Amino acid sequence: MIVGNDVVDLDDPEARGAARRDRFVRRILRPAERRAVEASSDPDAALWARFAAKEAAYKAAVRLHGGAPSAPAAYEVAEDLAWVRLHALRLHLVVETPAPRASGRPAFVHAVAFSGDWDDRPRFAAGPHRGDPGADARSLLAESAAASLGCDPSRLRIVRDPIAGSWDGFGPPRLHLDGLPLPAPVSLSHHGRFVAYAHGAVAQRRRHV
Amino acid sequence: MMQTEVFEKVVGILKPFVREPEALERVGPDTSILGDLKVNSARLVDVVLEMEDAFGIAISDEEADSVRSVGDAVSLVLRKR
Repeated sequence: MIVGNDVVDLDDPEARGAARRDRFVRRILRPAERRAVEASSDPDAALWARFAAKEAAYKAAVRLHGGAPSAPAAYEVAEDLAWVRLHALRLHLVVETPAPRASGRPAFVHAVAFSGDWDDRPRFAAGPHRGDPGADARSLLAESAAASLGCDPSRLRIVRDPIAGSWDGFGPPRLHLDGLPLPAPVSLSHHGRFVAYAHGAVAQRRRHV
Repeated sequence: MMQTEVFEKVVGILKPFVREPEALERVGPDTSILGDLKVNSARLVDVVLEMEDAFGIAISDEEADSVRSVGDAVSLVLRKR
């Protein structure tokens, strides 16, 4: 399985009004995606749901192919947000939005893209951070993975190995139990007030814990 | 336009989108735009649009994809002009 996720804070200044910025929209969305956004009652949320889906798919795709394109327009998102595709690679897609608030819109969108069987879909969640987005996202991921494994979260670490030429000089995050790598794919994201994680099944190691 | 001039202009374009302002104080050609300056992927799209406007060039998705560092961005501009 490969997995990627991305969260967008819809109240962040950079997110608000983005659907009205024509060049920006044209740069990241395909024609059918633009039509879906234009037809939406909440164009900004619709835009960022699709952007997050593309970003999640990119994070998943780089695990298969380090040179996967990062340009959002390279990724095609289904009109019903059920899948996202890069060439022949089609990934399941879940777009999580909390219940709309009094303002009529949700606070964030969280997209998770993954391969494999739908029934084996990853665990994922998003929520507000407590002051250190990077550490808080890792902590939430560790707590979820530890619950699956039935172990204490302190035994888990999320590590990123240096990889020259990657977007930030590091490879995708990986989960370690007692210093040894676990096969479960993991993904982390934070934006504005929110952090999010997704991870594949880790339970197969449970009998060793 | 000289390389230094393009460099200064690129740094000026990046400045509003940088989430790690102290990294700008030691910015150089090898500075990673996403990794060191913490420009996020959505803002990177804005950076590309502003570079197109500022230098009067068109930047394809493939060309934008090849830009990792400030030096990559400068080289791209010099190549396109």
